[in-house]
Amino acid sequence: METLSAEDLLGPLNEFEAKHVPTALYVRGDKDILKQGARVSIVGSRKATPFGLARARKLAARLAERRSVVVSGLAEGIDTAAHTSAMEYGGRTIAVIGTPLDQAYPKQNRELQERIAEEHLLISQFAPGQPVQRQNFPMRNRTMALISDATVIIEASDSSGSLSQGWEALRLGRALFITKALTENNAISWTREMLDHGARVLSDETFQDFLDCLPERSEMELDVALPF
Amino acid sequence: MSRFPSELPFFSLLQYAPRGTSETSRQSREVVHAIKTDSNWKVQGQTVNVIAHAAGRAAEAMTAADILVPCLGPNALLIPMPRSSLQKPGALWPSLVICKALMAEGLGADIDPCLRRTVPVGKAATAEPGGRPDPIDHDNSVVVKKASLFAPERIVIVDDVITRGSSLLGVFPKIVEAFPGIPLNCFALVRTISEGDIDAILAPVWGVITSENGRRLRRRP
Repeated sequence: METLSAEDLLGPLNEFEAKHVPTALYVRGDKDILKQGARVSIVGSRKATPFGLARARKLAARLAERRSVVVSGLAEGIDTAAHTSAMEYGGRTIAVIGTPLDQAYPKQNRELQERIAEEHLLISQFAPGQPVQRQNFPMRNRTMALISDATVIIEASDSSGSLSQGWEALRLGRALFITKALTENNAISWTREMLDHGARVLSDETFQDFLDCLPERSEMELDVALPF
Repeated sequence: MSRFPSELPFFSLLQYAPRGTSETSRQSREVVHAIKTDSNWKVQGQTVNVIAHAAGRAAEAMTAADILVPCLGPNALLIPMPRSSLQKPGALWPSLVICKALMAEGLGADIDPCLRRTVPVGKAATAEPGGRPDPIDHDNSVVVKKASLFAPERIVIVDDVITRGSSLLGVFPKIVEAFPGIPLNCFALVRTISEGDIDAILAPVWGVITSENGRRLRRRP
């Protein structure tokens, strides 16, 4: 395990990014995953519907195929579907967890967490031994927004932790997409407000727009002069 | 009589090619992404804010011999273009960040974030041609809440990226109404080259947006 600052891990931050940045990040795995490829968070409900799980798997697979990095929170439901599908399709994945690295939540994901730590990248902002509290998870969601170039909310109720990530993505000026099925669900009320504040609808018709808004991050630019 | 001028000049500093395939085009997309997210880059061990770097280039351009009429300057009140969506306080506002960087280079007298979006409009950069907001949509979706105590010598509306010029043209009438008789210029840090590749990202130029009653927009170059 390494202990790093967010700037060590992500590069220099702007004032908006620095506002909620954790004092330290505890990291296991391959940090080079951060150097190339757009990072996309796929987030949503723990108690997801079969349709939501299928959408998460399909999106993670498409991102893996284009060498983007799938970021999620290693919770059950949408998160687990996103991580496992990215790995299944030969992609890279980052798990940003709400517990210290030496704990697993839910416990049934301990094996998956260990695999991500060994083959991909596992990040927590909570020191080993620190107690797990309810507020860890929205804090983790803000950190996940910071790490990600874009966030996609697959399924989420009015009380879902994914909403805190969505609002943080908008605050940071990062792309936020909400699945079309969610925007057509009259039982939830938050989608309209997020759309009014800059979120966009993700559907087959807008998928290319979604890809177009992702950066083509390459390692080269870190060592050359600015191109203008 | 139309609320919108038939010709609106603008100055832009950089260009980018969203669909180009050359290395310069690819780099231009990275630059625009960095501007939209106010990114700092690590360049040869140094932290460089991309917007601040661009503002330095703007200062150089304003004194270049071939720019006969400077757009920005120390007597200009800078007005940032609002985002196409509504915005919560404390959220990143790229045009405001650009204004601050221009001020730091001595290219503005003050900033007045007086243009506020009250209704969201579709994003021009990602909308299909038929679905892009027209100037009238921008006109109907903004209000001006002036903070400046004194009348400025001149005004510059500052935008991050110009595509067709619909937003600049659209907010023009309300700015003119709020600041009657004050000379007004438009500045866009980046202009979109919709088709093909570009040879260079830095390409300072005066351009013009033409329209017929706020419709049939054309931007040159």
